[in-house]
Amino acid sequence: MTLELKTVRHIARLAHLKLTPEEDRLYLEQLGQILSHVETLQSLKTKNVPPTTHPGGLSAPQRPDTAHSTGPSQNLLENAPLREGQLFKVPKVL
Amino acid sequence: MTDIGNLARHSAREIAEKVRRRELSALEVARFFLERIQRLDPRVKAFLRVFPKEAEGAAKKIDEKVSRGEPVGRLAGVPVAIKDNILVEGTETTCASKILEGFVAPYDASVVQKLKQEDAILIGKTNLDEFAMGSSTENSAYFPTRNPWDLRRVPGGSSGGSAAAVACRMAPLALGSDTGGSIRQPAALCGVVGLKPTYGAVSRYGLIAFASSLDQIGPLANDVADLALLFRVIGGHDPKDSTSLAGAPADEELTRLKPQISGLRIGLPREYFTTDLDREVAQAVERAAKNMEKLGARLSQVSLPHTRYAVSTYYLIAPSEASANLARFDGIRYGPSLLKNGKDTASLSLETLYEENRGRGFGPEVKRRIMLGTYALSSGYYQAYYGQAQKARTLIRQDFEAVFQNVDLLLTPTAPTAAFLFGEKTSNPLQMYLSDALTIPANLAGLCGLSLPCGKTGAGAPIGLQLLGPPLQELRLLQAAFAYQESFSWEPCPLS
Repeated sequence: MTLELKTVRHIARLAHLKLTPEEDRLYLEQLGQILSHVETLQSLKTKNVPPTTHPGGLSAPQRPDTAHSTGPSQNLLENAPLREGQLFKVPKVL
Repeated sequence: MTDIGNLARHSAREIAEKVRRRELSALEVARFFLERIQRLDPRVKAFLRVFPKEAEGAAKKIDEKVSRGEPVGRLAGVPVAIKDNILVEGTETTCASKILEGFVAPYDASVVQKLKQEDAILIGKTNLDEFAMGSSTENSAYFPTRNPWDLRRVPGGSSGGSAAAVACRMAPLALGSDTGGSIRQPAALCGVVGLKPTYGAVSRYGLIAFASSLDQIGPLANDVADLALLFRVIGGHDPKDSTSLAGAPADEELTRLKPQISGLRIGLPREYFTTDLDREVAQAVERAAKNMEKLGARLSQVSLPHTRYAVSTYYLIAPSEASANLARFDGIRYGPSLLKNGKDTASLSLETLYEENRGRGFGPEVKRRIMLGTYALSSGYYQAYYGQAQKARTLIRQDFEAVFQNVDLLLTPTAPTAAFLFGEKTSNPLQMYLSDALTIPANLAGLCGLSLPCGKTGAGAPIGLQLLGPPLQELRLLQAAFAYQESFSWEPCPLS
């Protein structure tokens, strides 16, 4: 499996990761190795095999849909890098 | 009165019992373990944070309860170390990542609430591979943890801090999390016992998610009965976790565990005993199998034919889920951020902010897995990678379902080798991934599994065996492990 540098850069953009040129080259090599290893899965015949999205198939119990208080939002806001009053402050989006 | 110097050899059960009977005060216990941490941890570096004030405060409250004659919990006065991807309200939780530096948990994880209800003492937060991604604790953004048996070697990972803390008795009990072996593998490398409960058996509310279809919180301890007790405390249904199962395995049989292995059918999967296995590890596990046979277990060879696809399956599914789960770390609501550096928000685009914060905040292994997962989920590759891995996962699960028609438990080595040296596998990520080959299948299939010591290498490094059971058969697993443990003499870690 050979990856191209432009694919690595495209993936980094999709993942919202700013990578250095050294990181680009490192991941080009390492992701290539890992993807070659996982190629073994292509030899499996899976045409009629259903996918497993989570283990078990045991059903989750139900509960009444009741409202609860989640407590004060103050300690959530205290972790904010930047805020204005009770709001998170972010760069202009639109 | 109890000889306080001897406390390191006490089980959690003994400590709780003595606190209850006023033979020991919870404050004495807390101070004993805090002193031990102060003395040993500069060498081992298992803890990211220790809570001396809070621990002593909680201990005093328990002593007051006891002296007023009020009932106390099952873990009265027992110090418990918590892996730093589990939230403890009002304390910093970082997942050993720079991207969460300074993040103060706004609430308690459900397992932490349960520990508090049972009067346990939260003594500190333990080191891990960043976001639980790794098998050696070398991926911590802060410092690596050392194996207390041999400080030149890794403790395993990702719950390396928890396993090391328990091994040299800086805490009698610890919590870890296991996504592909992160409780069992460090337990094996540090010579302690560790349980990965069935998927859904322990609430994950307040566990910072890595791979949601695989993650499970579980206990680490020095003996199987302590392990069962801690599992009993943290297990059971939690309405705050939608993957939490009804039919809680929490019952009195776990609290008063009895050894039981006679008559059990135990399978030895031939795919787990390949030439990749270290010779000393193979010999120790084979000796353990013979011991179990002497104790009345019925052994047989079995086959799990899709085992060789497990690592590839895991390293597509776990990074895919991680790439989605870790999208939330962007420096907007918490964590270090360009926003904090007084940057004018008007001059920043949201995209640049995300990319800069994440590029600086995540370490190399986390970035590698986010990249891998993003690739596996990206348009044009989804079916070939993620889709195919989900189907392979079905085949791996079906292997176990078939084999558990004929056997009650499976016996395997926990890890292909004993503890390796620092730096031995860091330059080749794939080599590191392969050290999880024997623990990953249980996560893919949602089974319960545990690791317990079964011998040492010639160089004195602990070797662990793994027992695997069908979903929700923790009791069977723990009873068998208990019977084996009683037949086997084990010298604890000499570091003091």
